[in-house]
Amino acid sequence: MAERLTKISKNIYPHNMIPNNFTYYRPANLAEAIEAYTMAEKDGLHPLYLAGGTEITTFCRQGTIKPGALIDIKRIPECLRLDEDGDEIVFGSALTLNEVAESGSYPLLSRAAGIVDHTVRNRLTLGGNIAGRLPYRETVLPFLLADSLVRLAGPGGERVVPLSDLFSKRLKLAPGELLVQLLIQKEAAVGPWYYRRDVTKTRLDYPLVMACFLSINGLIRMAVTGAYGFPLRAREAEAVLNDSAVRLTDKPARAIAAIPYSFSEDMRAGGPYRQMLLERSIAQALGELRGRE
Amino acid sequence: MIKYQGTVSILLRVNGESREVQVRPADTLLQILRNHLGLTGAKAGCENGDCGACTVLLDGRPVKSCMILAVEAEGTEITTIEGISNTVVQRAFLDEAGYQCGFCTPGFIVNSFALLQAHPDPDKETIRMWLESNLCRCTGYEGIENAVRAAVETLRSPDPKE
Repeated sequence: MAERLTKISKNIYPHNMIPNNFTYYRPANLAEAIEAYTMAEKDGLHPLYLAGGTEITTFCRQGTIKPGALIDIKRIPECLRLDEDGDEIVFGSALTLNEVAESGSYPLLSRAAGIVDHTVRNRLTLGGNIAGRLPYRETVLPFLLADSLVRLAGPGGERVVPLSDLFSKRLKLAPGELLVQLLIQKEAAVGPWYYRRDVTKTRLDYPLVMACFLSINGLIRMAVTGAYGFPLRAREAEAVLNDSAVRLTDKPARAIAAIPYSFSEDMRAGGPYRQMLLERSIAQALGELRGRE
Repeated sequence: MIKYQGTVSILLRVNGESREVQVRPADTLLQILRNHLGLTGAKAGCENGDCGACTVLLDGRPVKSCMILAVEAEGTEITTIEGISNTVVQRAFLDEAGYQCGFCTPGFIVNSFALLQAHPDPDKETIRMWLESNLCRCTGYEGIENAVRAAVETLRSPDPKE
């Protein structure tokens, strides 16, 4: 019987079909987006904001998520901004990674946005990468290093807050809150930087370790993802890297020892291997950044 | 605000024509192109955004149509492999045997077409970066790369006929 039901189910839902129905909203502005969320939530539809959809369509097809409503934010002007505003550079959350990379507004971000393949990057957005479900969230690293602010909109109104106040392993938004923009100071965008991304086979793979470094006023900042299962700004490591009392050759190992988390262990790589990769990244970053200063 | 629920009628601009289709919001663009509009050039391969066999252009940029809802494509210019037939790029794939079984070929041609629109004289790294979005399980990559280079050469000539 179960086998027969499975056959019937496959006939009804071909493998390429998203089986659950949902309501699609396309708001023209932030107020409409929040209104759509509030209405859908009231109706018990468990809405999600939809940007590039690379994760959402895949997870819907797999049945991992079953939202009753999707709210497409790609036509909201504030979410598409990419320009300068006084001393700040504004990045809208619905910008694709190719748009961000091609702009060259923040060279470290351009490099960090070089994930997945070029065609997917025409859809994958900044907001989707940072606020999505996959744990790597590579593009948050340059924003953590730049002490970015985030502009949010939600049923409780709009607010601008430091990214570091909201980001702990993932972006912690209030219910119904939408990531609208990320803002950085122009001076942060031009600081010397170093980037390294280690993978198992091809550059399209998820990172085993991805580390970003940014030097501002002669002090090195460091952020990493892949190594610990979530992205983080490694402030404890930064204290070691910027401590002139620590010998240069000792800094990579001591910086890692200062980070209060264990390395990820999975079928792609063991913890000691990831540790070696991160140590190597730190050593190379120190060499590169010292050379540039 | 646009709100679509159940089965709705939308207009899609495909290969320069307006086409009315009945869709569920959950239908992907690939499904609608193939099953409703009869445009079967875009292939259903992995349907996970990995293989690129379903590549089409949205406003000139290559995208994987298995990862896009048809309703999201409303208001954009969609170009499929059927819309770029008899182009220099397509002919180059034929001349250079840039195909084996042919399943992945439409995706490669569409992506290569967009590549040469954006970069008429791409360097090796740019070609690699764009084409790594597509998989050829017959592993005929050399012929594919040769086809792109041949198309570049043809387009450089005074009368490329594209």
